[in-house]
Amino acid sequence: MNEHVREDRLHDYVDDLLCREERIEVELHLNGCEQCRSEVAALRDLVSSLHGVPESIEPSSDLLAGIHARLDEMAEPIHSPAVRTLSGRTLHSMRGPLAAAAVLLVALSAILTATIVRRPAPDADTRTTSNRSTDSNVGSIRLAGSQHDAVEKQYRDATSELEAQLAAQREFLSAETVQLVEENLRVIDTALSEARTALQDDPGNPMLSDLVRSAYEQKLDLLRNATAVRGDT
Amino acid sequence: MVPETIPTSDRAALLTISRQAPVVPQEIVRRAQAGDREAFDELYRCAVGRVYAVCFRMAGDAQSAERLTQDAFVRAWVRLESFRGESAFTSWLHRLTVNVVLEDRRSTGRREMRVENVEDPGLYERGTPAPMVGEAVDLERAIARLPRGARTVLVLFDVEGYSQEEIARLTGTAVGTVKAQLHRARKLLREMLNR
Repeated sequence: MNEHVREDRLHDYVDDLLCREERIEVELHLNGCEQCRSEVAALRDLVSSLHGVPESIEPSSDLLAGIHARLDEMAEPIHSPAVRTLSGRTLHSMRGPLAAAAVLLVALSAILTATIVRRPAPDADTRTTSNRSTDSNVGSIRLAGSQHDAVEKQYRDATSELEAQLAAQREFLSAETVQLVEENLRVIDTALSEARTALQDDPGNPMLSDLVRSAYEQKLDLLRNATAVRGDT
Repeated sequence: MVPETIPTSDRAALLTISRQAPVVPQEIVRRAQAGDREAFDELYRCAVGRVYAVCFRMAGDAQSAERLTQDAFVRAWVRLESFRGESAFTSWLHRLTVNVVLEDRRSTGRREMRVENVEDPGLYERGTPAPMVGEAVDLERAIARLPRGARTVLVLFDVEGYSQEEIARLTGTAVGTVKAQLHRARKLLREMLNR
C-alpha cells in the first residue's frame, strides 16, 4: 500500500473498530510509513488523555438548595417520589375526581342500562318520538346505527393508539402511576362493556349510544393525561 | 483564549484525578426510594461530582451544567422508584443524566454552536474544580470550545465510553454521522491543544 491510510480508517484503527483483515492491512502500511505512524501515535495520545479526564467535577456552588426548592414545589400530601407534574396538577391530585367520575359512570351505566333494557321496545313510530324526547333531555347529537358504528370505530382506533403509546412509555412511569391509570381504565372499561352490551340488545337506543360515547370520552381523556405525563418528566 | 501547546506525554498522568466512580450504599438508595429526603441528599453528595462532570462537558459551560445537574437530580427523585438495582446506582444516574442533557438540547437548542458563543471566559472558570489545573484545564477548555454536535459525540465516546451505535441511537443520527463528528472533534481538539 503506497498511499497513506485514510484518516477515518486510522481513527477506527485506534478505536479498535476494524476487522482483522483491515487491521492487518493498516499495520502493514504503518510499518513502512512514518507519517501515518506519527498520526496514529498522536491520536492515541489524545484518546488516552480523554480516557483519563476526571470522572468527577464538583460544581462551584451548592445546587442542593435549588433541587430542594423544586422538590418542594412538586410535593403532595401523599409524599412519594412518584409524584409527577401534569399541567399544574398531578395524577395524585386527579385520583379522587377521576375515580369518582369513573365510578359514577359505572353506576349511571348500570342504572340506565337496567332501566332502558326493562322498558318495552317501542315500535318504529314511537321510537322516533322517544328519540326526540330524549334528545331534548340529554342535549347531545344523536347518531343512527351506522353512524354510531363509524364513530365507535374512531373511538376504538383513538383509544388503541393511545393505549399503544402508553404501553411504550410504561417503563418511564412510576409503578404507582401505572397502577392508578390501570385501575381507572378497568372501571371505565367495565362501564363501557355494560353500555355496549345493552346497546347491542337495543341498537337504536340513543341513551345507550350516549353512554358508550361518554365512556370512550372518559377513557380517551385518561389516556391522553397518562401519555402526557411522560412528556412532562 | 485558545490554550497554548500542551506536552502530550505528561497530560494523561495529570488528568487521572478522581477517576473512580463513587460507590453509593444500597441502604441509602432504598431509603431514598422510600421518600427519605435526607437519604436523597446523601445520594446527591455521593454522585453530584459525576453528574456535574457529564453535564459540564456535554453542555460546554458551567451555568448550563448547574441547571442540568439540578434537572437530573429532580428527575432522579421522580424516577427513583423505577431503579431496580440491576445496575449500580451511579450507572443508572449517569444514563439518566445523559438523557436529560440530550432531551434538553433537543427541546431548547439554546446552546447551539457554543464554540462561537463563549464570550465570557468566566463561564468555564466558574465550573473548574480546585484540583484541576494546567493542562487538565486546557483540555477541558478545548472540549468546551468544540461545536456542540462534535463535543457531544466526543464526550460520550472518548470520555464516557459509550459505543458509536449507542450514541447514534441516543442522538437519533446514523453511525456514520457519529464517526464523522468524532473524527472532526478529535481533529479540532488536536489543533487547539497544539496551537
